[in-house]
Amino acid sequence: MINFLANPLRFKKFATVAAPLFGLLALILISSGLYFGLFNSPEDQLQGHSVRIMYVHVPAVWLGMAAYAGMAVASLLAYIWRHPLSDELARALALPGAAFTALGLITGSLWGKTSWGTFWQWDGRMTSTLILLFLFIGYMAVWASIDDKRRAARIAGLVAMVGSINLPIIKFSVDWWNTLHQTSSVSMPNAPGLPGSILLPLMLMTFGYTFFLGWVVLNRMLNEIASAKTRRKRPAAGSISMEKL
Amino acid sequence: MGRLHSMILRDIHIAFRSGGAWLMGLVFFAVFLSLAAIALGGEFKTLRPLAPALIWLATVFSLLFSFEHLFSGDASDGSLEHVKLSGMSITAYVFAKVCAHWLLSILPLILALPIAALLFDLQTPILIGLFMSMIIASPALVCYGAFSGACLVGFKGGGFLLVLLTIPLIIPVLIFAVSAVNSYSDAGLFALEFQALAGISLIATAIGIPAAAAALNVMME
Repeated sequence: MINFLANPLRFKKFATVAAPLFGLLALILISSGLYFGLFNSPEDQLQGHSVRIMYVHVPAVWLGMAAYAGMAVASLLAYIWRHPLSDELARALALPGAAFTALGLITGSLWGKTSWGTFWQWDGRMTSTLILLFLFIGYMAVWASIDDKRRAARIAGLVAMVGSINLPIIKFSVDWWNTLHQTSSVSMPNAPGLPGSILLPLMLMTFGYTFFLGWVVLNRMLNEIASAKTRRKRPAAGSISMEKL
Repeated sequence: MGRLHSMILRDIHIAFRSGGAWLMGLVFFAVFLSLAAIALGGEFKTLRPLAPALIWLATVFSLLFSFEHLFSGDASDGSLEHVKLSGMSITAYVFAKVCAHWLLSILPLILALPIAALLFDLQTPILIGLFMSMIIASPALVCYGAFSGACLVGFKGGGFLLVLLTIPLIIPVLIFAVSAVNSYSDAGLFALEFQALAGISLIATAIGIPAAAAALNVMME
């Protein structure tokens, strides 16, 4: 799959077909997920209707983390094989990933207000999600502040890789710190053992978000390929470059 | 080994000739602590429990501002290219820079800890805990800082970006170091926090130095 898409020309063909398809699938899945989530799922015994925030919140955080993982893997591929498409993939994942993470934090704090009575709690999960957002912002800031594109790609890739190695350590330390300090414990509804009427909209939303991410990423990459083509800068000798497309 | 040695000595010579610029971190450390004490009301009763966190914050911030210039001098005057041409590996060069930076920026802070302890009226176990946590955790701080500094060599406005890049990486250090200070008096050096700090320092050395070398190589491509 990776080998097949590594050819920029083939990737372009694939993306022009797949992007609208992903967009359509995202639209269908998210709207049906919202319908099932908002109208056709039971309300929580304790939290009432506010539990429905979960269908927007949980997939957003999942996709934020998945986007960071994807970014790190794409950066690794780009670092080893110096493939420009993989750099573009990593770069294209950053903004939607940050947006998902931010959405997760915002919906989470709204949910927190209704069920815990506070917008923010220095709870392990929330803190590590916030740090994930900082990592995304740092990655994007590197791209924004380095003018030379090839250099920016290499440096940003290094930042993403070092960040991804540290993410588990950060997560562990924050969890440890939280259990040490927090006196009142808050419990999240556990994912396994959810009844089907809750699981169905949650899954629909997750796949919908995934296709939405795919749609955004493919479009961003196509956009970048097109603008690289119009720039027509002198390609560096011996390197594969997208200007040749 | 001889090269490493002379590289470290060279950095120390340059720093000593720079008219005391290398001591700015120490001055910042002192000013930060005084400001914090003033802002918090100056009562020992409120300051004492906060002291480890404040001292650690002062350390982290005074270091964060120093990494911007870690490689920029060598990169702008061409010594970095000469190091590369001389056949010395960039990884070894980064390691020498990191050692010199530790001696010039962290050692003064460690030596200043007893004075900081006076400012906050700290007990001896807390002071020893601070010493130990600083010694064990400082490799992580310097290595990650060197990585961020290497990433942003030669780019304008790198200061704030450097802080943004480094902070997520050193959050675990901050978390474990502050609580290590407090648990030193109960568990001594075998407290879980010191083990975690040592682990983080080892990982940071293993990742930060090669990654910084890779970033410098990108710079010179």
